[in-house]
Amino acid sequence: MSKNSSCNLSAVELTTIEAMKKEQAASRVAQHKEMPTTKTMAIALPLIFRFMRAFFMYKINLTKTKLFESNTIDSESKKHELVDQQLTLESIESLPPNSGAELVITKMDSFQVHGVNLQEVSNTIKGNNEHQQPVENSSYHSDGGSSNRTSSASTDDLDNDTISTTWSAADVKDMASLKKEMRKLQIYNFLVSTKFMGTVYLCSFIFGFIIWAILGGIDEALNSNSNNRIFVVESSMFEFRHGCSMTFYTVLTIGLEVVGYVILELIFLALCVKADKDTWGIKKESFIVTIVQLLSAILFIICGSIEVISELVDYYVPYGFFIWGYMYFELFMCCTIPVIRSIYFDYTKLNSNESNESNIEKVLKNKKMFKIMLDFARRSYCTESLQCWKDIQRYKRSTKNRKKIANHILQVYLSINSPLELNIPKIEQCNSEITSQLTEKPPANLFHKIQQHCLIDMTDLFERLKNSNTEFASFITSLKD
Amino acid sequence: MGNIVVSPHDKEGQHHMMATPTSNNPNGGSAATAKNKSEITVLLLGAGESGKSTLFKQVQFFHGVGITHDQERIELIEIVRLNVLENAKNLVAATQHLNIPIEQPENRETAKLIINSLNTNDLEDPSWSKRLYSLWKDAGIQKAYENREKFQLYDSTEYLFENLDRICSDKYVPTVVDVIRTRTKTIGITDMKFDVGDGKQLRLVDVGGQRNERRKWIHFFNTVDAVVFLTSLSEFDLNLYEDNGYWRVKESLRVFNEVVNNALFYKVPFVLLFNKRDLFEKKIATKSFSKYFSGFNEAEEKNPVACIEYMTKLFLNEITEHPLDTVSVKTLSAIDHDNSKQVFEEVKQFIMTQQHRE
Repeated sequence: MSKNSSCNLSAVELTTIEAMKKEQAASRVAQHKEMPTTKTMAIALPLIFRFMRAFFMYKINLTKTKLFESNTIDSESKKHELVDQQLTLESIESLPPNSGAELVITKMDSFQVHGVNLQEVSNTIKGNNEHQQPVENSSYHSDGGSSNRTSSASTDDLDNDTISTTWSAADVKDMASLKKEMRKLQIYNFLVSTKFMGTVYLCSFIFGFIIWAILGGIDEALNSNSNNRIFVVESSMFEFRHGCSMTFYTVLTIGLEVVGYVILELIFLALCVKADKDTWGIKKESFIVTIVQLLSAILFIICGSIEVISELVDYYVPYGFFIWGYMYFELFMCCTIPVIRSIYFDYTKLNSNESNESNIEKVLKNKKMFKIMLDFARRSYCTESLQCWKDIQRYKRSTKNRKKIANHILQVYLSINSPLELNIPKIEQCNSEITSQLTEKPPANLFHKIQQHCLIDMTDLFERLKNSNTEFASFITSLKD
Repeated sequence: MGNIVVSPHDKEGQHHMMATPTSNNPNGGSAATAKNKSEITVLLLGAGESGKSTLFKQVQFFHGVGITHDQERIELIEIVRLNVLENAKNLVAATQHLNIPIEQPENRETAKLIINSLNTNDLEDPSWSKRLYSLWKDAGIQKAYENREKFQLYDSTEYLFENLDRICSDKYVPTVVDVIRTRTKTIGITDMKFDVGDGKQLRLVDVGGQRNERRKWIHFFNTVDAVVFLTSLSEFDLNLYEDNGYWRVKESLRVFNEVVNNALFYKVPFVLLFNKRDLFEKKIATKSFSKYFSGFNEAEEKNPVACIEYMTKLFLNEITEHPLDTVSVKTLSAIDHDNSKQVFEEVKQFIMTQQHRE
């Protein structure tokens, strides 16, 4: 239909008044300029693919983690996992209420694969097993897998009995189900591949082209001499010099095609909602695009039905621009934003690499946390590492007083028998080495090794503090995110 | 015995020692300043790397504190990996220092990365397990490892490298053994309290052992009810971390002399623990013990019992002031859970009976 619309679109694109007038005169019958609608169908395709991608990526992840688990973990736990699946499928209700939530969890995966919504079950279980939410991202998921194994060891005997009795049965199913999963994975992988998407784009292009050729051909063959064409008014479909207006039949054909696309889009929209992983924001973006698409379609239809706009305003500012606006918006969302996003990602990654800070450094750079840590260190009789680290920071920042601060550091922390002597090997050698480099303008990294040493010395203190101060511990947890 | 009420630190008026943060009892600071008889304070003393913290961790562990939970050990992943990196760094540095070439080119590449840019987060990648293991197995590194008495290296090196496939996995959760085996240099002073029956509490105090850390011990000397002094049996061929030209045994003896003859400890039960018996027995099988002790009969050097007897005499000879009947000598392998449990139980009994006698 791309070709089809390009023929029609030329009317809008070549808005020479001449062409306009000619066309207007020619087409009294069909005043609707339907070509933008044609475009709508074509532009629905990227969105459909986006939804599809989001959904199938999620499915792939789900399948993969299961395969991964059963492939890498020793055969015993593989059996275990398969048994779990089987058990759940067969007897989810018959299980005793507190019989190892781990059984239910693994089952849930299989349930979701089978398209059964177990969301409610998972909600009730979440309380017991924080780790084991089943449909998280892959690493989280495998985590759940490992804790499955550990928790099952601690469940009561009754539970273990159930498992051991079904093991032999599960062995048989083992290979077959694995193969099935592999095949499924292959299909999903194909569906999200560029090969598949490119093929679909090409097919739809050819499909549109063929329709145009067939309909045009029919028109030409039947009514080349008369003006009673079925699909276009007055002019021929193969007329490239100017635009043409459509009849009701053309609108119908296009409308049917549009309905097809809309249905497809709705299906994948619904599927996409089910995928609960949205790493790259594909889902979020696609929803926004859908809303804009809907709005522009509504505006287009409303404008088309207001006579003043469709008859008069359209000649100067075509209301088809609504659809065009949507297309540009989509282009922005699908191309510009991902590019910006990836540039931003690289940038932040680069930055974090540059200042590859450990948690301890982050803590020390936070004024409040530093204070907590210093207080703790004072009570543990080991403030020297912290104070030395801080003084070296001061040294690095200072420009004028570097030499003075350097001397202070050497005297206080790097001299034998000073009250704040660091716990560092060969302290005299360190001292003389640094002293020899101490010029009028000492370099900023003069104490780099010493500062690193302080950080390493603090690990012990840091762990102790983490275990005893909740505020401190929660600060560390917040750093991880 | 020694009902000294105020420690020097308390005179400063801000934080008495009870406020020393403990991992098991974060709010332990509110107890009375006056020392009550229901609390027995036991000091773990000894030179650097004698195993004080290892024993401390073991005691924590069999009292159900700290590392018993998976969740708490997960927190220690970074420390274990840091240990791996430091071991690797030390080994690579040693090959340069000792002029031993690393043989395989790819291992040389790995060594370069270790020295320059590798950090603990990189170790989450299983491919590093292979690279580090291959480096570890490199003939050059192995040769340096055989000569490890010439530089500073942790005792856990071999253990950590043999467990790399676990440690470099993204699912890694440190085991209790991993945590016991990892070396973290203690700085400052830390303590824990636990019940020992009879309504009594035992407060175990762990300290840093290097020279600068020892100055801090004095803060605790006044309030002590018992001293456990650790010394490493396997250090007979090693030099100090603080001063790589100083023989560790000499340092241990010197510290022991200072502590045991301290007037403050005159009436306090004193336990001397010869630690790292496991390592020691392995070591004397391949290394000459008599080479380091001129007074030792060379014919007996492969007999651990004779060696330990000799070491015991060496240490007991240092005692000039402390009454010998309140000194107990034991051997220990602190990385061994059962052994440390048993030895610590004996130590506890010894301290309690000594107290009782008084």
